[in-house]
Amino acid sequence: MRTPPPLAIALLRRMLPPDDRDEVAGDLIEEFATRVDVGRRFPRVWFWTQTVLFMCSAGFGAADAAAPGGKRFLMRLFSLRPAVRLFRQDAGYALAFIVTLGLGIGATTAIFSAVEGVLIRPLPYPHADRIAYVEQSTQGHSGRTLFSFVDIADYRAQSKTIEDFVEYGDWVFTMVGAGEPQIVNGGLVSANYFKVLTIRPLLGRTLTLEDNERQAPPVCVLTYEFWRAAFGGNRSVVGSVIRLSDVPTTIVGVLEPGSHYAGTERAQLYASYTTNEHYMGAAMQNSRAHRMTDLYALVKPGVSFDTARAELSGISASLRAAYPKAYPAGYTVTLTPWREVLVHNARPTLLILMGAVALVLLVACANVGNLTLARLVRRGRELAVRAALGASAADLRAQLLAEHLVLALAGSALGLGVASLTLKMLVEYTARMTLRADAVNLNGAVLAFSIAIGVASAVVFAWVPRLPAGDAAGAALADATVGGRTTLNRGRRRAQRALVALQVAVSFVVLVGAGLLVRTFANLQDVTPGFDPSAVLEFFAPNGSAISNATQARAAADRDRTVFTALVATLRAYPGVIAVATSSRAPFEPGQIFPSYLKAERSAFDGTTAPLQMFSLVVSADYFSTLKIAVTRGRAFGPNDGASATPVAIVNQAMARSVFGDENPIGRHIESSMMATFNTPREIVGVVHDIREIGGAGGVIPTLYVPGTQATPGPVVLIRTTGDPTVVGRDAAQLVHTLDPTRPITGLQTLESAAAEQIAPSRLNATLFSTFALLALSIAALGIGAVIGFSVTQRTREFGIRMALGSRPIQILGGVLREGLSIAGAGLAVGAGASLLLAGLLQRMLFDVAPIDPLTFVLVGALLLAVAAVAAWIPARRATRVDPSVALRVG
Amino acid sequence: MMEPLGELEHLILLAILRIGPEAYGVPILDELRRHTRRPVLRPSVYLALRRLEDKGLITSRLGDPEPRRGGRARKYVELTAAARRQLRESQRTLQSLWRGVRVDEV
Repeated sequence: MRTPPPLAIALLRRMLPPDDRDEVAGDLIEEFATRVDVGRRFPRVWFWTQTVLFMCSAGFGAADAAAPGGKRFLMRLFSLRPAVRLFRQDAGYALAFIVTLGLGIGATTAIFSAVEGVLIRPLPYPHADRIAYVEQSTQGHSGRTLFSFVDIADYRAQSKTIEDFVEYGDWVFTMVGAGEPQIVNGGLVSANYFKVLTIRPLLGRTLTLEDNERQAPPVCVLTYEFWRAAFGGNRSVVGSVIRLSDVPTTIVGVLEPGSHYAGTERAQLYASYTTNEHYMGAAMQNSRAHRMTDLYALVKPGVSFDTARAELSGISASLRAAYPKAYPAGYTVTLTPWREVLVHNARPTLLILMGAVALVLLVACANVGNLTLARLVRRGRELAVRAALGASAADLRAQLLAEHLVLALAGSALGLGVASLTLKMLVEYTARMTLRADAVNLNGAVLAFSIAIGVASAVVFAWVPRLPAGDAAGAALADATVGGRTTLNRGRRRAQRALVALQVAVSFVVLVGAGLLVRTFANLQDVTPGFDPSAVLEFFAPNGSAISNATQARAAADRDRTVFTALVATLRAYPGVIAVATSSRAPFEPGQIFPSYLKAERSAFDGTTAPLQMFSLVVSADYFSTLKIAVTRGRAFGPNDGASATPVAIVNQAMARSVFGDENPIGRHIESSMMATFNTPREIVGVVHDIREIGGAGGVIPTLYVPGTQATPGPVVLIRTTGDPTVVGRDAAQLVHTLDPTRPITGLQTLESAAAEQIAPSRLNATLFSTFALLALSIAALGIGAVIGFSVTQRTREFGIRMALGSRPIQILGGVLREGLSIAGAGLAVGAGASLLLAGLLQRMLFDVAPIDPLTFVLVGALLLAVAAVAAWIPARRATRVDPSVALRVG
Repeated sequence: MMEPLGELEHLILLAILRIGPEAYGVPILDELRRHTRRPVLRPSVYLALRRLEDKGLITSRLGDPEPRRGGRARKYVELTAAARRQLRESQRTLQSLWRGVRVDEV
């Protein structure tokens, strides 16, 4: 920023008298240059501040009365003086205007920043509009089916609409060699990933075609952010070797700062296939059914997605015909614009939030509109005098616009401030729904958005009210001067009431939304998971080894068994520890549910029928007692279920029901394609109570439990303690490190905080909506209070007369209250109707509560009526204190 | 004849006196900021300069256009004889009033 802002200079030139402008601008530019030279911060902000000072200053800001009309209008707009004067004369109005509009704009701007970043802004890749995500789907499998290398080779060879396919594999590595061992999210990619997305290296290189060769040495490329975080931005890391899941891997480059959206987790590094023996193994390379890679497609220029989709479907059909065994019934392929896939989860929520804040803004604008109407009445006389003295309607409009423009822009500035305060929370919130959350920020588009709202509202507030002009001016003047008091004509009065009723109606809608989401959150909190999560600590201690064949798998399993046996024994001896268990899955973890083929004795499942959506867990014998999961039939695992004993399994009630119906499963045999030991029939020895593995809303999932002694145990460790479980946590990391220095430890937390984390999105939904609703409600309450207050002021004389004629205060009070409640009642009726129509939009965000929930509607209605009564009661009390003698004399 | 002198005008005259023949907007503001403890608003300084010129206490001349100033010229100001007279008078008055008294620091 070496040059002063040209816009500010242009404004100065417009504002300053000709004699002064060169001197003032020259001095400012010179001082700006000096400030830049000596390294003072924010020179442009300084320049703008100085410019605004001149615009506010009485000696400079005055518009040149001799200037021609158009120019005079412009100069009025640029001069801040009318606004400064307004602020001096009517600070209450100005503040109420700025704060009300500012809060409305703030909420809207905050949510708009998320909408803009996630839903509007294109992906930051040159060909982003041509990149699609390709997925297959199978009948009866809700999740997405990925692709095998063999699938892709066929698509690549046959497709004419796709310029290039890009394979992407999510892979979680343990990284050893840079500080403590740690878990990193990696992407297994080949050279075309960088080529198609035009991701360039900052240091070193990206992957090349040679890196894909079978004998190529394992290499990886770090993302900029990970390089800064884990390697401290050290430039000499290029060429050094780290261990990725036990494989020595050379870092060949660091990428430019940028966004990484492929896969399901944000990649921290990209590794070549040769870092991963599984990828180089026969199954991955040669088996058509081994579908483990995500697939992206760069559609050729000029080819529509529909054409490409049709072509890929054709190829899919011919593959199905050629290899019926590899493609079970109902296999289809779809192609979706990448951004759609990326933001799919976030879109409905963000749009609903945008709708909610638009309603809040509507309430704010209605309220500000009311303030403006009331103020115009107070200023009726001034305006009439000016009109009578020859000011044209355009002159009056220009004055109003100049005043409101400044107020509205101040509102925009306040709104931006509010939005920037909520930005961090908003990014975290959005990150739960999409990887694209990193694009949420306050940029030029968001700035323009909030300023546009401000300017638009200023224009509306300046243009909508009827102004006295021409012949009407005299009449208005006469009206306004008779008796020296201000009156509100019937039309304006009706407009005011309608605006307040609108505020109540809109508040009703937002409050119903908030109520439903709060009930959802409460319902989720009340769901009993089927086990006791209190005072239990969990952490992950995954091994860092690469497994590609049976020998390695056995070695890794043995090592895990040794480590976890020692770990469990040591932890159990800790003071305050009641029980310790290991599991292959942490309770409440979201995790994908994989379909698994089952073979079970005397049941519908024989290994060829449709797969079952289920979990398979490897747990230690103490798992059920540690989590306090009840055994409803048979027994838990015991010391006799050793590695060489009869293979056994336990099922939960849901599994027993879906596989064996009403029959007793104990003693039956079962096997699942998901276990490494498929084809080993396991004898069912027990049935345990259903638990909600993935939290409240996830329901109960059929689950098969296998003892850790007969499979690979871990990596989740669960510790039940008598007191505060975090005390043990402090020693756990050290303990794991002593037993196995290459083993990272992550996810150390209590099960209760895991449960809270699991329902965090619904808590945030409820919090956001409640905040908006509270905002709308307070603004509406102020609106009711202001209108009734105004009406009381107008009717002071009437009250005085009535009191003098013997009306009791309670009658006066009742009358005023009735006026307030009748407006609120009209608003309630409209609001309830609108809510009936709109509540259904929230369906997706609700749990265990119907969108049209009578309790919520009744409570919201009661709350609004109560607030309206209080808001009307305050001015109503004033009405009862009218002193008849004073009112009659003054009136 | 002496016109009444505002405080800011007084300070500006002194600043010009201290700076000498090279006085214009930027150094005058610097000088004022160096010697006063309260913020000096730029627009008021330029307005005061205008008033001083109207009162015949300063005269101005334009320098050469300078690229560092966006091609604009400096407007140098100089004290007139009247200004010098007025400053001498105010100094005499102030010094005379100060003789023999002091203000206790609070």
